[in-house]
This record gives sequence, C-alpha cells and structure tokens, in this order.
Amino acid sequence: MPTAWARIGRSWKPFRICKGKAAVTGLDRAASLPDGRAGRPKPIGLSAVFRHLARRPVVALSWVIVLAVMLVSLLAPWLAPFDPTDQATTDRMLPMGSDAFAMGTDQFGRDQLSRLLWGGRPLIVISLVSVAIAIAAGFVIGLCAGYLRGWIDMVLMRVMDVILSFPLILFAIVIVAALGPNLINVIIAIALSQIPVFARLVRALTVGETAKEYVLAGKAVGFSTPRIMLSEIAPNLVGPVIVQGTSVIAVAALYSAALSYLGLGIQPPEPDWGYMVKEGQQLLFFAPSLALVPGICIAVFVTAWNFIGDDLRDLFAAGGETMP
Amino acid sequence: MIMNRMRSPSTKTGGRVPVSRRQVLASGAAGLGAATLGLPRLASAQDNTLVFAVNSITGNFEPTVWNGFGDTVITMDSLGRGLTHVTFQSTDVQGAVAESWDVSEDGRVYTFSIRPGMTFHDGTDVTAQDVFRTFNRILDPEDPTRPAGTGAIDNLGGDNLQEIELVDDMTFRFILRDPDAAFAARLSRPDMVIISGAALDEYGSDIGPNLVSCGPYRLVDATPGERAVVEAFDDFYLGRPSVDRIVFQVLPDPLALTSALVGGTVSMSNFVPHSNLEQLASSGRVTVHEPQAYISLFLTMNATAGPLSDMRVRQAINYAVDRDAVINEAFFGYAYQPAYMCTAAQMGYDPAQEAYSTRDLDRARQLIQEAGAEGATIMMHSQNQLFWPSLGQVVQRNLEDIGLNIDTQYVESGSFFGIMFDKTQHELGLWQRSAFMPDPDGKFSPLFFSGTLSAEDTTAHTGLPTQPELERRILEALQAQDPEVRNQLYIDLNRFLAEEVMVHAMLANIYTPVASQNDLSGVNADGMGTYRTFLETVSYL
Amino acid sequence: MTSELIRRLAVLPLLLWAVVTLVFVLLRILPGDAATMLTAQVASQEVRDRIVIELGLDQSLWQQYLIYLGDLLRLDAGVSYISGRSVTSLIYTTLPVTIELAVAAALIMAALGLTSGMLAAAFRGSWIDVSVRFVATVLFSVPWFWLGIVLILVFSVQLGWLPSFGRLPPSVLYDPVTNFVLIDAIILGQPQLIWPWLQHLILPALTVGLTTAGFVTRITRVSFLEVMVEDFVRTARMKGMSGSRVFWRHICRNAALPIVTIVGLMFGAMLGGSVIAEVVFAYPGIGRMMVDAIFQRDYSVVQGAALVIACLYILVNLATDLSYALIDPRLRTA
Repeated sequence: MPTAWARIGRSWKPFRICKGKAAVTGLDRAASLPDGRAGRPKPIGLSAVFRHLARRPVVALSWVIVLAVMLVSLLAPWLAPFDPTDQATTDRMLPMGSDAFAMGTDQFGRDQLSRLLWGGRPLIVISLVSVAIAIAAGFVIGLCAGYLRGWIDMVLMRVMDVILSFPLILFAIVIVAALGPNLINVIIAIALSQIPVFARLVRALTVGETAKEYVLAGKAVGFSTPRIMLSEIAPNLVGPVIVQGTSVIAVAALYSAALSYLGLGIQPPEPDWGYMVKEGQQLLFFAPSLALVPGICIAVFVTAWNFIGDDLRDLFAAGGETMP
Repeated sequence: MIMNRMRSPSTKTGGRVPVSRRQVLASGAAGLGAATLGLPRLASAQDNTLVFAVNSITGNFEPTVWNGFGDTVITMDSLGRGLTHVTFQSTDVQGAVAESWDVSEDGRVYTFSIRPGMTFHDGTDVTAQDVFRTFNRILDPEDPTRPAGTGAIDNLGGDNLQEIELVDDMTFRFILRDPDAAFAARLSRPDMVIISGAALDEYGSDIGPNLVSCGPYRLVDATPGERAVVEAFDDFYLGRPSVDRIVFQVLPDPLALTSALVGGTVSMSNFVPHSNLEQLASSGRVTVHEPQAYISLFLTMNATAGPLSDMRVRQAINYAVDRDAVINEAFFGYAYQPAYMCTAAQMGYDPAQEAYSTRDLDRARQLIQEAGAEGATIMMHSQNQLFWPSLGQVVQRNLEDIGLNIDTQYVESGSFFGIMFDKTQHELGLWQRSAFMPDPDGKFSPLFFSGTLSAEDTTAHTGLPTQPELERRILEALQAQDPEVRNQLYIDLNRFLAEEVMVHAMLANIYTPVASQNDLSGVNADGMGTYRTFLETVSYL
Repeated sequence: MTSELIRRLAVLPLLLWAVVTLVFVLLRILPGDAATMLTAQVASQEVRDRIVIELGLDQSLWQQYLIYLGDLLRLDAGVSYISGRSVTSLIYTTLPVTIELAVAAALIMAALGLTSGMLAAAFRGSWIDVSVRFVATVLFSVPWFWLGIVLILVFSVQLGWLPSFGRLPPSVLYDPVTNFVLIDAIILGQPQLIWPWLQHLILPALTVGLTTAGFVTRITRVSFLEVMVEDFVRTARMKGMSGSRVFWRHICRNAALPIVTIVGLMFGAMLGGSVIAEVVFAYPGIGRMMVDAIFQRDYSVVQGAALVIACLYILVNLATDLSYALIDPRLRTA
C-alpha cells in the first residue's frame, strides 16, 4: 500500500474542473473579467442554486440548520411550551424525558426546552450584528486606506495593527469588563476586535483593484474619488468580504459564548446558550444535559456556518465562471 | 454548641432536592463510583500531607491588608496566632499568645500577660516587644514597617484605640477611649496575628511573602495563583500538629474541585458549590459537614434611592422574599432560616425574630399599594460567581411577585464593590457579612455607624431620623460588660433595626460548605463555615 | 529582507506603547479600583482615603500615566498590589507556563492538522477526504470551554485517568529555576517531575490543540492540492522521480508557505488566546493571570501582562513572516 505522501507525489494529473465541482484553489479573487475590467457576477437562477446544493448534501443541510435555528429563535415566543424565565419551583431538577418537560428542568424549575429555544437569540443577534458593524467599519477604513494611500493609509493601518497585536479574545474581555456586561457592549467588543480583519482584507483588495484598467479609465474620465471608490471598486469587493464575513460570524458566535461563560455576557435570567453551559456546570453530576446540550447547540450552529462559508469561498474563488 | 444550634425544622430536611439512587447512578456517579472503589490509600495520606483547595492564593501574607480569603484568612489561620483565639465551636475567647488578661473596672484598659515559653517560626522568643511592634505598625503612621494599604486599625475599633503600652517584657496594655466588650474577641481575628520582631527587622514592611509568626504551621513556599505550602511547626505551644504538611491549592473551578474531592486528590475544602454537596455526600468517600452558620446573607437597600426611601417599600420588600426558596434553590437546602442580623450561633439571637424574615405576600402587596410603588422599577446588583446568580434570580422573582420591576445586573467583584460603595449607582444589592470573630458587634458597628462606607454609601441610612438612636443602641450593647445584658441588648437592637430602620432584608444564615475525606478526623467545620480555618486539630485516621 | 526586518522592529516599540496606553485607559474606565477591592472588608471612609493616597490612586490620570511610562522605561513594571510581588517576577513565573501550553498545543495542532490534511489531499474525493474535512470543521466550531468540560468529564471523572487542574500535583515539590518544567527537570536532576507535568498538560493542550487543528487540516489540504497540479511536479514525475522524492523535495517546500503562515499565526494567538483553557483547567498561565488581575483591578499586572503578550505576538508574527524567506528563496530580496 503506497504511503500517503508517495501517493501525493504521484498524482500530478490536474484534476478535472467540472461544472459545479469546487476549484482546487482556495485563494480569494474578486469577480473580474480576464482583461481586467470589472465584471458583475453572473445573475444566478434559482434552479442553479438548487442544483448546486443538490450536489453538496452537507452544505444543503448546513443551510437548513442555520435557517432552522434562526427561524426557531425568531418564533421562540410561540414555539416554547413555557416561559423560559418562569421558575416553577415545584418541578425542579427533573431529568430529561419527564412528562411536561421534554428536556428536563433546572434548579429553578425552568423548562430547559424553552430555554434552549430562546437561548439562541443572543448568540445570533450578537454574531450577526457585530459582524455587520465590523464589515461596515472595516470596509470604509480599508477602502480609504487602500485607495487614498499616503499618511491616511499609514495611520489607519497602524491603528488596526495595534488592535491586531493582541489576542482578540483578551481584547474582547477587557472591553466588556470596562463597559459592563450587556448585549450592546458585547456587540461593541466583538465588532471592535473584528474590524481590523476586514479592514486589512478590503485594503489589500482595494490596492489590487486600483491598479486595474477600469479604475484608471474612471480617473481619466474625471470621476470623483468617492464615486470611483463606491461605485467602481466597492462592488468587486463584496464577494470576498462576504466569504470572510461568514467565517467571522462563526468566530463571533464562539467569542460571544466564551464571554458568557466568563460571566461577561448576557445576564441571567435571560436564556443564553453560553451562560447555560456555565450554569449547567454546577449541576454537571446531577443533570449533565444542562451543560452539554447548549454546548452542542452552539457547536452545531457554528459548524453549519463554517460549512456554508467554505462553500461560498469555493464559489467565489472559482470566479463565477464555474457556476452551473 | 448544642444550645446554640437552633434550627427551624421546616427548611432543612424538607427543602433538600430529593436525589434518588437511580438519579445519582444515572448521572454518571457510576463512573465516580468506579473511580473511588478499590483505590489505594491516598498518596497525600501516605505522606501525611493535607491538600486544601482554596479559590485564590496571592502569596502575600501581610496580615493587615486584605488579599482575598485564601491568603488573609485561610492560610493565615495556620501561619499565625494572635493574643486571643476563638474556635467557633464555642464563642468563648481563649488566650493564645496571651496567657491571661484583665480588664480595668471602667472597661477601658486591657492588660495582657504574654504566655511564657512560646517561640516564633524563626526560633526567637515571643515577647511583649513583638506584640508592640505588631500593633505599632498598624497604628503609627511613622512606623518604618508600616504596610501600604492597611485598614486593619478599623477592625480594632478605629479611633477608639487610643494607646498601646509596652509595660514590661511579658506584659502589654491597650488603652481604649470607651469600653469595648468585643475587644478581646477582636484580637483573635486573622489580621491580628503576632509577627516576629526579628522578621520585621529583616523584611520591613514587605513581610508579606515571608511571614514569620507563631502559628501551628510555618510558611515553606507560595506561588501566586497556584498554591501555598506550609509545614508543621515543632514548637507550637499546643504541641506539634498531627499533619506534617499542608498544601493550599488554588482550584476555583467547581467541576474540577468536585471531581478532585471525589477522586481523592484534594483532601478538604470550604469552597465546594452547594449544588454538588448532595452528590459528594453520596460518593462514599467524602464527608459533608453541616456546621453552624455565622454568615448573614442579606439584601441591602439604599435608603436614599427613589422608591426605597419610603420605609413601607423597604418593609414590603422584606416581606416579599421567600426564604425557603432561597435556601432550597440557591443553596440546595444547605442554609438556615434567618431571624435578623445575628445568627443562631451568636449572641443576640432570638428565634421568635424569624417572624421578621417570613414571607407575607398580602402584607407586602398592601404596603406597596399604600406607598404607591406599584410597577416601580428598581435596580439590583449582585456578584456573578458562586451562588450569587442563583440567589439573584430567586430574589428577583420574589420581588416581581409583589408588582415591582427588578432590573438585575451581575458583575464581577471588582465592579461590584465599586458600585456598592457609590450611593448614586445602586439601589438594591445582594451581600453577606461573615464573622471573623463571633462577637455580634462585627455585624453592627461597621455596617451602621456614620462614617463607615456601608452606612454612608451602601445603605446610605445615616440621614434617617433613627440614626442617633441606632448609634446609641449599638454603643450601649458594645460597652456593656455583662454577657447576659449584652445578649438582651443585641436582641433589642435587632428588633429596632427590623422595625424602625429596615435597610437590610435578611435572606438566609449561611456557611461555606465544608467537605473532607473520610479518613480525616478533628475537622473544625464550625470555624471553616465562616472561613476560619484551624487545621492543627486535624489528623489522619 | 533585512530592511523589512529593521522596519518592522522599529515599529515594535510604537505598537507596544499604543497597546499599553489603550489598556491603561480601558482599565481606568472600569468601575472600582484597587482601593475599592482593599476596602471591601474595611469600614471607614478615612481609612479608605488613606489607602487611596498610599496606592497613588489620588493623582490625576495623566500623572499616573506618566509615572507608569517613566517606570517602564527604567524596566520597572510596577508591583502587584495584591501579592506584593513585582510584576516582572509574576510574569517570569507565569509566562513559561503559557509558552509550555502553547507549544504543546501547537505540536498537537500541527501533528493532527498536517497528517489529516495530507491524508485528505492524498485520497482526494474519497470518503477519507470527506470525513477528515467534516471532522476538521466540526472541531474548530466547538466552543473551547465546552470541549474542556467534556474532556474533564470523560478523562477525569469517568475514567479517572488524568487530573483536571493545575500544572503539577499538589504533593510534588517544585523549586523552579527557569520555570520551564522540562528544562528544570534536567538542570536540577529531577526527572520525576516530568511525567506528572505531562499528565497535567495533556488535557489543556488537547483542548486548545483540537480546536485549532481544523484550520491546519484545511490549509494543508488546499495547499498540497494546489501544488500537486503544478507543472514542475509533472516534470519531476516525468523525469522519473519516485513519488516519495517528489513529495519531499518539491511539494512540501512549495506547499509549506501558507501552512507555516497559519501555524505561526495560531501559535501567536495561543500565547494569550488559550486563556479559556487556562481558566477551565486552573492552569497558572499568563492569560489567566491577566483575566484575574482585571477582575481584581490589579492595574500593573494587567498592563505588564498585556505588554508582554502583545510583544510576543508581534515577534511571533514577525518570525513567521521572516521564515518565508528561508522556505522560499524567491522571497529573499536584497
């Protein structure tokens, strides 16, 4: 049986890049035509999307999971059998599978199923909103730095470096500890820590785009700077930024859970998966499901996002030409 | 001790979470059982070492500066002894470094005779000179060995202590401005341990990492954030302790602590979370002690804040709290029904006063109506670790039952103290008062007197018309000499506070749960229940 | 390349200064300070006022800042008001612990990531490839603290194989010289330290290593696949080189660049980012010390730790960038 590396060495044949199969490269490239003009991504029909997903069951399942989690969280007030903060003290510490309480209850008698249904909300809100803010701010910063160059570039990028020169989880901890633990501050902390990620990406892409012909053409024609930046360059960056955004959403979700675990996130009695793991730790011997299940929920959600992100990355890397 | 252990029958047994054998086994205790069966005698038992789990060690054993429970109390109680000593199994004040003492007629002059033949860990003799240097450094701002950041003088009565006097080599005297019946008990506090003068000469004000005192164990090593190691002192005045070596191990994570206790890698702890006690007890390897409670747990009410400035609202809040729920849900049954500020183990306790801390929803709602505070929004602050979040959720629910909107914030301790000592930033607060000395004054003077941080900034009640009478009563109880008289005065003081002032709603009388391996005997759980950790009586069977 | 190196090193003090200032300001926003912590157990206002003065907290923010900077330039990072130890000695004790953890975790991450990535590349398209990618993605989607709890539950509680806290068992006497257990065991001639140290190191290192291995798997796989289709590989095969030789000589060197980037970035991140693992396992590293110090308002410790972590992080990134030149001669500019 040939060793793995020998096998790698031998398989020099280029792989068939057939329609729909993800390209080998993993590098992000903006959708642009071969001669350097800006290209708009091809309009995608709904049937094309379905065909794409049909070949990738894992990605399809991920989309289903993510949408289901979001839907359930949105509809939690109607789906949950009980009020998640209702402390019915006569039914405390019931194990999973009890009559009215499918997932058991905790030490206050709160129904775990209801808390799980509601508990995804802070996670989703925090990860989506903080990444949206980070993208918006990072986009602006990166665009200005990459196009305008000069001292603006230097100043902005050095500020980004300061933030990046620090492990981001510690950065988030310090900010939340300083501002106080609530939803808004967690969003601010995570957003701030992720802005440099997007700023750097957008700047690098902008620098690349600026050298292209369509930008030179625009300058020659006399377009104003903001117009060039916004209507010519920006649309080409949307793809890679979205791809990056999906993996950052996953990271933001994990950070939000970690902050909750440290007691720096959502405050009880609001249900929140990260905090439920922390609370459940106390009762790990009585009822391991109290700590384990919310953790599984977080893991499933984040995993699904990561698969989606991978798929989007493959799509955009193929430059749009390989879309079915 | 038996006389003092008065408990309300309703709460203890009825409130415990029923855990059937099936549940315990199903939850994986089978795994735990497997781990405990058939294990050889603990390594630590074999070399006569005790591993005591604490939640922090900073390695700074400066007695007069607060460095957290792990250093300033738990380890200190093994390293040092003061002039007097209290076991907490009884509240009698015994002599330690002092062999005996007498009090003048007017109660203002305390003259201590130093016990002959005692030595410090460095071999030097214990004399009144060392006692002088120990107290001078906290009193005299010019003393060269004075530690930065010390507040210990307050624990001796603040400016009530006028003068200290070195009478002769073995006699020492304190001169007070006013009589203080708790004075001898104050000297048993962990921050009053006697320090070796020779060590002070060597280390000056940085004696913290190198503390030399005369306790049953001497300091060997300490690593901040990890552990402190002490070993038995041969010349301890009560005899060399049985256990050779103690390791105070930092282990803040409750899961790790519980599994370490069951697995046998930790011998003892008083930081076990209440939720795991039942399970520890049924593991068959660990004894869960239920000591007397010295710690008062309460809800502080800022008397200058919005609706709380109305006495009726404060009383309503007091009537709204369901103490049974607190004991069962936050403490899993391991706590006691409170009366008012004094616990059953202390002087000044009257079981009839449990009526002040009994839920009466109708009365509460009626008072809220009268005060027009229906639907009022009130802020509540709590710490975010240990049992505090559970407690907060119970109290919030109780208060919402009488029509109040409670907005709770759980913050880490640094922020918590900052907020609680600023009367513009908080309204309700969840807090406790432990007893490092059993005398009840420890729960009154520092909490109610004008000029104290608690009275001015936490409950902010010094502007109330009851203040002069309150202060008069506290002083009267403090200065009376006869214990029977004092007992009655403290009972009256409790009644006065509950009926006329009401800035604290008592939630429970608690203790820090003590768990120890079955092969240990002589565990002083009563002291450990209020953090006082006296380990010289412990031995392996 | 040297000019790049010099330029990056010249910027380093500026970055560190910015980090220190940022942390300084953020800490002062926190409600409560050292005096509050100390006086939590104390009664009177006058005592509190005195403590504030003694700790230098009554001076204006600007004054405190300048004094701190001045001390830093004289290499005096201050004293922890809680433990009374100098900040430098505290860092000296905790930094090696985190480095040990980061190195162990990085080794696990690299070993797992590289082998699984190469397997996936070798058997591209097969079920091996698919399952490796699946597991890799799941692993870095799992919340780190949750994985830590599960590991404790399985290995400490249920199986009783491994300890769940600390760096060494409480019964072991360790008198550190360099604070690196491996080195000290050799220097002091105490080999009996090593096995317990490893036992305590496994679970936290696994927690960090498993959750980051997925990134390395992905980048390894992608990188190898890219290189595998390059022309020069085909040429080498046509020349008659055996599979193994082609692998080691051509593919690895060319594929290494992005892999080294990721491994370097992750290692740098682990230096401070393993704080969660340090908290769950009570592992006495610098990340945990910093978090505890934040909660205790021990300003000097937080500032000192932040400075050191940032410095190391930047240096590790710098080293990663510079190692490109070693791997790829094309990147060596004059």
